[in-house]
Amino acid sequence: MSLNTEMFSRERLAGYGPECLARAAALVVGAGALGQNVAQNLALAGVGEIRIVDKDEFEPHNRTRSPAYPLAEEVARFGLQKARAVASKLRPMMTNSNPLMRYADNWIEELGDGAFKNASVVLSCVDKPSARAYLSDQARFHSKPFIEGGFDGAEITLSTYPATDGEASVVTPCWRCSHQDIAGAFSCDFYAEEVERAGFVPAIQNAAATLAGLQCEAAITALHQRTAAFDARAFDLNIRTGRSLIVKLSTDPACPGIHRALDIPPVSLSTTADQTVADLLQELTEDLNDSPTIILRTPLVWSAACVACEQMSNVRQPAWAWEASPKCTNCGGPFPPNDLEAANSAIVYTQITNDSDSELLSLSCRQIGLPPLSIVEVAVRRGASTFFELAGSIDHLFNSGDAYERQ
Amino acid sequence: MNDNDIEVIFTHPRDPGTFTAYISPQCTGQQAIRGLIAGDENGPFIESAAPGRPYELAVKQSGIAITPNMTFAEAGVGNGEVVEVRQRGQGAN
Repeated sequence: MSLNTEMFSRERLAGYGPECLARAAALVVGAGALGQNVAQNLALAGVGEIRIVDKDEFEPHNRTRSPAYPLAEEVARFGLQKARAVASKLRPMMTNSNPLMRYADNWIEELGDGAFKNASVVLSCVDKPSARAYLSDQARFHSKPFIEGGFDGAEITLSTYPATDGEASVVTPCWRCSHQDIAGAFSCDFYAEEVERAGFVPAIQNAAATLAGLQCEAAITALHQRTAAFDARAFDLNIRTGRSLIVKLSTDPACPGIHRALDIPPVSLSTTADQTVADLLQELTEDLNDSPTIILRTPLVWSAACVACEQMSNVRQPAWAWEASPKCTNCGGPFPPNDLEAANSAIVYTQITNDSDSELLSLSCRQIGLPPLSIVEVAVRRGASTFFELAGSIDHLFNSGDAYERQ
Repeated sequence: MNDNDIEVIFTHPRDPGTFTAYISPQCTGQQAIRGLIAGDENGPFIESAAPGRPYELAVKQSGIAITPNMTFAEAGVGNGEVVEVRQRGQGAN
């Protein structure tokens, strides 16, 4: 009997369907220690498309737990942006015959709904709780399986949430069900300081690699639609002591997260992200033959009082962007991070109509937090909300192919 | 302590310590965690959680998570049950 040397022969024996994985697109958010190990495993497993998102740059201390840390000569070609460098290093490892590696040097919130379009699974490899909350909400809204991981030294935790739609999206637990207070967790620098102050142990490669293996196995289970083996649960493991715990996650009756899904395909718009809000409203008015109200799923912070100069300061940013970097446009100084007084003084838009402030209507859709392929929720006087999709393509959000070389 | 209260043994997230409390079955996860932070005459059982890194509770025998607004009764916690206090790792970098 001759040995089967076909590339995926071992994976087939392990129950993997290479054809299924070849058709899959995995959204990997975060390209740090965990994200790199996750993306590497997915590349080797034969996943057809991998999307890597991260705005951070590599720092020297990352090297001890970064399988895709660029060598000196690669820094000149790829730069130090994590997403670009990791995508460039891992693309040759993809075992799929027609691999597609996309990357975006952005925060995931900047990419909006389009990042999730046609993704088969969402893997959270971020450390900020606010980013986890965003991913949890988006995965639920777009009916994607969500696989979340985090570590604290040798302690690792994996949590999995199935893709849901209809009533199941209401009653199935989400990450927010057990993580309700994410205030004070938006700014990267602030979060890093808090983590250090609290004495949390940073990543070690063995924890990152172990957790990445668990996350990828969960992703592969989800991609094969083995629903019985993929439910809402958490798995804690200490990789030194072997102590472990499996938790059946529960739905919180007052969960602040999104517990609904986009059950009907959105109506395609011709308005692009670079056209004005007025243009968008005009197309919606013509489509609906009614006066539309755009419901902003991410609130727009219009202005806020700076506690340093005590002036109202223009913000004009989606809430996540302002909370991540709350700079005062009057005095230049930052609002004190996560200052409740400043946050409470903010003028925030959650809806836009034809009667909204003319300056707001003159801004581009992108400026108010609607990048290409954004799902726009619109209410009219009669009936339920309707969902529309801004024009654009995934190539407006991600780089791929020849773009690996630094411009 | 009321007649309906149940004995619950909480385990510490990082050390072998336990904390025994008599609580109402209508107590929520959030209320229980507040009680563990307040502790007893010996001091707090657990420290206040850092922003974005909440404690979580799970019934040891059934594995069911008790979310912040869920009651111990809803989680099916019986007299003498052990409830694990967890704190998920949040690092990724």
